[in-house]
Amino acid sequence: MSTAELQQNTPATEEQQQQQQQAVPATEDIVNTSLISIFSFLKQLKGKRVLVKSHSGICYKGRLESIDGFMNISLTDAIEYYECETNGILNEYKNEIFVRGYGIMHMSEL
Amino acid sequence: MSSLASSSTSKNNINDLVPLDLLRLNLDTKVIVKLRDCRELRGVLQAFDSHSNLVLSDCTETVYKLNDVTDELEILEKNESEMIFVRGDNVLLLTT
Repeated sequence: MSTAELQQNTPATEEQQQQQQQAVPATEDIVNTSLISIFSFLKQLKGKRVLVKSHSGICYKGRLESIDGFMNISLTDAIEYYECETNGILNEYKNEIFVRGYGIMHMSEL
Repeated sequence: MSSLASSSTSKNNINDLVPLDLLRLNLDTKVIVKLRDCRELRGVLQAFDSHSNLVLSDCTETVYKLNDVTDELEILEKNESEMIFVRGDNVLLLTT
């Protein structure tokens, strides 16, 4: 359909409406071609030692106990340092810690 | 997303725990909460939700400041409150 036709206020016939619908690609047609899913990647990190960096530059190294859809994580045997481990360890957590997912920048296996 | 993020209530397997279950397990115990802007709260966790909004009782708030000269953290102020609500977006970390 041309733009001139669209601008007209005349009600479109059923046939025109069908044509319009066909012109717009359905969202199901857009295939996600990722080789692995992001959530399965994060889930397979469970139980492994990970490095988590937050937006503020604080890094956490610890064993990933669990993760959810908000990317909230819980870590055990975690250490905390700023940017680089050579800057000195700020904290060693003996208990399990909960890190809110919002502040997390990236996460990788050690 | 909602199904993944929901806190497990009927899960028996300990491997199925989600991070928010850690908050649930720590209800009514003394916790340390790190917040934005060098703030720290110590108190008894009374309530939480999926945004990690928290309610703490018998709470002490400590505000730290980095001393530019000595390069050390010093305590700027200390506040105590009987009951406090913490909005979730300030929370960075929670531990016992």
